[in-house]
Amino acid sequence: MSDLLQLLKDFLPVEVAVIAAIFIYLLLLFKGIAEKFISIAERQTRLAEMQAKYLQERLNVVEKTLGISDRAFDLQEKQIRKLQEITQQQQDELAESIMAKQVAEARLTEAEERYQEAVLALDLKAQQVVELQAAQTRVELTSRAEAIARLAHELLLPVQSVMADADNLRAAEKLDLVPEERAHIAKRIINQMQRLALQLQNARVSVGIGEEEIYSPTNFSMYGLVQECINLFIDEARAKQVILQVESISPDDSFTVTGDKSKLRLALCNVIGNAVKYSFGGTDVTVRIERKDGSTRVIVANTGLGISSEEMEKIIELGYRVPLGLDRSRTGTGMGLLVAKQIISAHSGQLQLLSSERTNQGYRTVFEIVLPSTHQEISQ
Amino acid sequence: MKKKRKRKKILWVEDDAWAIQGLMLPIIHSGVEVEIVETYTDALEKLEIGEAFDAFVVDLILPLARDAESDISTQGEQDKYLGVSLVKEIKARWPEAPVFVLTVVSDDAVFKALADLEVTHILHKPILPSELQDILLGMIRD
Repeated sequence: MSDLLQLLKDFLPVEVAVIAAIFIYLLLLFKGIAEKFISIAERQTRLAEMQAKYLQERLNVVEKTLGISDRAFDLQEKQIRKLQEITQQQQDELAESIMAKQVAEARLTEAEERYQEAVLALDLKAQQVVELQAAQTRVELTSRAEAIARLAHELLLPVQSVMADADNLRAAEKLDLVPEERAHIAKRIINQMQRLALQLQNARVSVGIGEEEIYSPTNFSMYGLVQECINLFIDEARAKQVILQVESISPDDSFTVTGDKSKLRLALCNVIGNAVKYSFGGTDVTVRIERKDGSTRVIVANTGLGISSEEMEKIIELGYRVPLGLDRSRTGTGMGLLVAKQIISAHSGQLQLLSSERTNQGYRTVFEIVLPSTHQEISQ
Repeated sequence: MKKKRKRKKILWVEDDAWAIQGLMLPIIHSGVEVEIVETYTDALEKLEIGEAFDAFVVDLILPLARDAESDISTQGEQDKYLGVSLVKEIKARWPEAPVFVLTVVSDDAVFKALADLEVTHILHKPILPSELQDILLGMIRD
C-alpha cells in the first residue's frame, strides 16, 4: 500500500492520493474476497456439478433400472396375460371337457339303453330262434310222421296182395286152382315182393338224400333194364287196360351204359311205375330207347293225370317232396321221382319233364332220362 | 218149373283194383259176379242207371274220376274220403243192401260217419281173402 501511495503522490495531491490508495486497496481487498467467494462458488459449482452428474448417473441408473423394470414388468405383464390366456384356454377346454363329458355320459346312457334294448331284442330273437327251431322240428317230425304214414299206406297195398295170394295158394285145392293159375299167383307174389322191395329202397334212399351213397358201376344193357321194369309193371298195366311197351329205334343195340345197375333200376322203375300208376284205362305207356349226341336216352310217355310244370319244378329242380297225405287221385309216397333224379344226377345224367299236354284221353306226359353212353365217374 | 237161381253180384269200388285180385279170387270162384269200378263217378253212374247189386264193397280213398277233367287240384279237402259220400249215395238208393268198407283208413270221425250210415262191416286192409269171403258171402247167401 505504501508503494501505491508513493506512486500516487507523484501524480496526485497527497490527500487525494491517500484516499485513492485506500480506495484501491479496498477494491483489491474486495476483489480478493470476491475471488475467494468465486473460488468457493466454483468449487461449490463443481461439487454441485459433480453431485448433479452423480445424480444424473444415479438417475440414469435409476432410469435404466426403471427401463429394465418396465421391460420386466411388460414381460411379466405379457406372461400374466399369456397365463391368463392359457388359464382362459384351459378353463374353456375344461368347460368343453365338462360338456364333452356330459355329452359322453349322455351317449353312454343312451348306449346303455340301446345295449339293454339290444340285449332284450337279442333275447327275443334267441327266443324266436328257439321257437322257430322247435316249429321246424315239429314240421320235420310231422313231415317224417306223414312220410312214414304214407309209406305204411303204400306198403299195405303189396302186403295185401301178397297176403291174399299166399292165402289163395294155401287154399288152392279148395279153390280148384289149376297149375297155371297157381303159377300166375306165385308170379304175382314175386312181382309184388319186388315192388315192395323197390318202395323200401326208395324210402331208404330218400331218407339218405344228401348223404353219401355207395355206387358200384358196371357195364350193362339199358334195354335189358327197361325190360325188367316193364315186367314189374305189366300186370298192373294190363289190369288197368293200359298197353305198356318198349320201342327201340335200333333193335340190335343193347344200349350198354356204365353205372350202378341196382340204383339205375330203381330210378328207371320209379319213372315207368309212375307212368303206369297215373295212366287212364285204354291208353298206352311207351318206353323208347335211343342214342343221341353220345348219350343213351330213355323216353317214357303216358296219358293220364299229368303233372304240372310247377309240381315238376318242385319235385325235380328243387328236390321238393310232394306234400304228404292220402290224396285220392295219386297214391304214392311222392319220393319216386326225387329218388330217380338223385340217382340219375349221380350218374352225370338228367331226368327231365319234356312235356305234359292235354289230349282227348288225358294229359300226355313225357319224361326223358339222359345217361352218358361212355364211362362216367359217378359223383357221390 | 224150378226158377233158375240168380247169380249174386257185387259192386266193388277200388282204385287199386289190380292189387286186390287175390282178394276177389275166392269170391269169384264161389260163383259171385264181381264188377269193379275205380272211381267215385264210375260207381255213381252204376247206381244212377239202377243196376242191382247184392252187396257193395267200397274203398274210402277214391279218385273222383279218371279222365282229362280230373285233376288233383280240383279235389278239395271235403272230398278226401269220397268213399263215405259214395256209401251215403248207396244207402239212399239201396237202404237194405249190405255195404262193406274195405280200407286202410283209421279215422274215428270217419268210422262214426260210417256207423251213422249203418254200414254192415268196416274191414281193414290187409285182410285174408278167406276171411273176407266168409264175412261177405255170409251176408249175401240166400
